[in-house]
Amino acid sequence: MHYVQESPYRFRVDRRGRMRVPGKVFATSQLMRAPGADEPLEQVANVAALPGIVRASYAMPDVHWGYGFPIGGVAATDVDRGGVVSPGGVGFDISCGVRLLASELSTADFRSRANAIMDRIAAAIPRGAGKGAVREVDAHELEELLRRGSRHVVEAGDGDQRDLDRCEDRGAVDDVDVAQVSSRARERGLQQVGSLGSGNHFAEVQAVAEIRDEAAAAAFGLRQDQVCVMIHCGSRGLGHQVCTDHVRTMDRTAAERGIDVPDRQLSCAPVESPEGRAYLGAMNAAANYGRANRQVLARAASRALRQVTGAELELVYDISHNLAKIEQHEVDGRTLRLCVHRKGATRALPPGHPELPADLSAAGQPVLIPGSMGTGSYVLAGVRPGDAFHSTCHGAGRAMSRHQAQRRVDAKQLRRDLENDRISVRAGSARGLAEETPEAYKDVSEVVAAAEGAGLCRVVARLRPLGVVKG
Amino acid sequence: MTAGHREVPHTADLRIEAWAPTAEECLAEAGRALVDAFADVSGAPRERTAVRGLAGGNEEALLALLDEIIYVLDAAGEVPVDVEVSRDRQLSLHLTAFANAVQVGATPKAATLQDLEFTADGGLHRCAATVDI
Repeated sequence: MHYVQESPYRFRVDRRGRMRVPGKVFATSQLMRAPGADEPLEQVANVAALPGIVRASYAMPDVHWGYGFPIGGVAATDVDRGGVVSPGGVGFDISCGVRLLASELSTADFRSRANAIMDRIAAAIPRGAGKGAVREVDAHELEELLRRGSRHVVEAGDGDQRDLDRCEDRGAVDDVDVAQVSSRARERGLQQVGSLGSGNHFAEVQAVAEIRDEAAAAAFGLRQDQVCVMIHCGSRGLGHQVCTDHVRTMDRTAAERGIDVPDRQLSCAPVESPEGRAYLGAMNAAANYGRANRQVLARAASRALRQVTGAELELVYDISHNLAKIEQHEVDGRTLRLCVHRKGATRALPPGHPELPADLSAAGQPVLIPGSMGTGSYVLAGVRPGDAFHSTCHGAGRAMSRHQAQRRVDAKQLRRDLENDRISVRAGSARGLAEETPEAYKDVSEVVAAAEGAGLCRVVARLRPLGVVKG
Repeated sequence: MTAGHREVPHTADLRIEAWAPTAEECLAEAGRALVDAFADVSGAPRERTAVRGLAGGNEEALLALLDEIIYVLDAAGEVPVDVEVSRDRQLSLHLTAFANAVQVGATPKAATLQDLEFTADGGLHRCAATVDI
C-alpha cells in the first residue's frame, strides 16, 4: 500500500478507488515498516469508503488487522448528511476498556505478601469460560444494568460517588434502547456480571514506575511507587451478541439501502435509520453492561486486597476503547454532529473540555494504555488541540498471530521468565498464557512515544507489572 | 480426500477451515474445528443433545452453527463433544458441561462475516470462517 510521510509521526494514504477521504496514520517509520503493517492500511482504505465519513480514516500507532475496521481505527461520519454507523467500527467487545485503581501500598508492601495478595485476587476474579461471575443477577437487575451501568451497581451499595465521577460518562451512557438487546444477548449476559473473560483480558497488580507529569499525576491520584490494580475487560458475551445481531441485520439491509462496502464486516446503516438507531440503542446498553462489569470486578479486587493487607483501592479512571459516540466537532469551519467510531482507540479529551469533571479539567482526560503481559502500561492525558476527534492509541497492538505465539513460546518457560522478573502469574490455561506472550505485541513504549510525538496525547506516568491474573 | 478440519493463523483471533464430501459433513467439521480450538473434550461424557434446524444457504448455516456453539458455551456452560448435521440440516450438538473439558485456548465469542467461505469443487465441500475470541 502506497503512503506518503507527512512528518516524523504522520503518514497519509491518498484517496483512490472508492475512498471518500484520505487515510491518516499516526506512527513512526519503524512501525510502518514492521512485518504485517500493510494489511491494516488496506482496512484504513476500506473504512474511508463509508458513506458520510468526514476528514479522514485514521489509524493509531498500535493499529493492527481487525474485522472490517482495523483495530486502532477512528472514523467519524456526518449524522445529518446520511452518515452511517457500523457495528464493525466499534468491534465485538462493546465498551471494552481499562479501569485503573490505586492503593496506599508501596512495592515493598506488595512484595512482603505477594503470593497471598495474588492468590486472593485471582480467587476473587472469575475468568475463562463457564467459571461464573462475581454478581448473580436476574432478568430485572440485568435490565437495570443495561439502562444505568455502574450507576446501578453503586446505588445498590457496591461502590461510591468517586466510582461514578472517575468513570467515563459518569458510569453510564444515555440513549439506551433495551428492546434492541436480543434475548440471546441477555442470556449470555446473565451469568457474566463481574467476570474477566479470556483472550487479552487481564487484571494486573502494578506499581507506578515513573511519573512524567507531576501535576497531572497528582490530579489523577497517582504517586511514585504506588501499588495499583489495572483491569482490562469488556461487555463479555452480551456485547459480542449485540454486535453479531446488528451486523447480520445490516448485512441484509445494506444492499436495499444501496450501501456497498468493500468488506461484509463493514456493514452499516445511516445513523438516522431504524437499523442505525436500533444498533446505537443496543450498543449503549452493552456499554453500560461493560462498565458495570468492570465496577463489580474492581470492587471484588478491592475486597480481596483489603482482606490480605487492610488497604482499599480507589478508582483513578475507567475508559473504553471500543465505542461509537455522537459528538459535536468542527469540520471545515462548521460544527457537525458526528458519529465517531473508536475501535481499539481511546478518547482523549484536552484540558478544559466541558465534559471533564472539575478535578480533571486542568490535566485533561486520563487515558489508560495496557501494555502486553509482563511489560509496562501507561497513563496518558488528552492534549490541545489533539487530532482524530480527540483520540489516541489503546494498547501495544498485536504483531504476531496466536498460532505463531503458541508455536514459538513455551508457556512454562514464559511463566519462569515472568517469575524471574518478579512478576507473579495466575493464568487460566498454558495455551492462553503462551498466546499472550509479550513477543506477540508491538513495543508499547514505541506506540506511546509515537502517539505523543503525533500530538495525540502526553505521558503522565508509566506503570510496571508486579502480578498478572489472566483469563 | 476425506473429511477434516484445521485451525490456521490469524493475527488476533481464530480462523478455522473444514472440508468434507458433503456440505452437511463440512458444516459438522467446522463445528469440531471450533471446539478443538479451545477445548479438549476427549473422554468427556455426552450429557445431552441439543437439536435445531439450520435454515438458509451454506454460509448462513455455517454462521448459525458457529453461533449455536458460542451461545451454549456462554449461556449454559456446555461444550459439544461431537457435532452432527443431518441431510435435512438438523444440527445436533452432543453436549457436556465445560467443566468436564480441558480448556486449551481462548474461548470463542462471535462468528464474523470477514472472509466467510463455503465452496464446492469436484465433490469436495470446503468452508472457512474467522471467529472472534
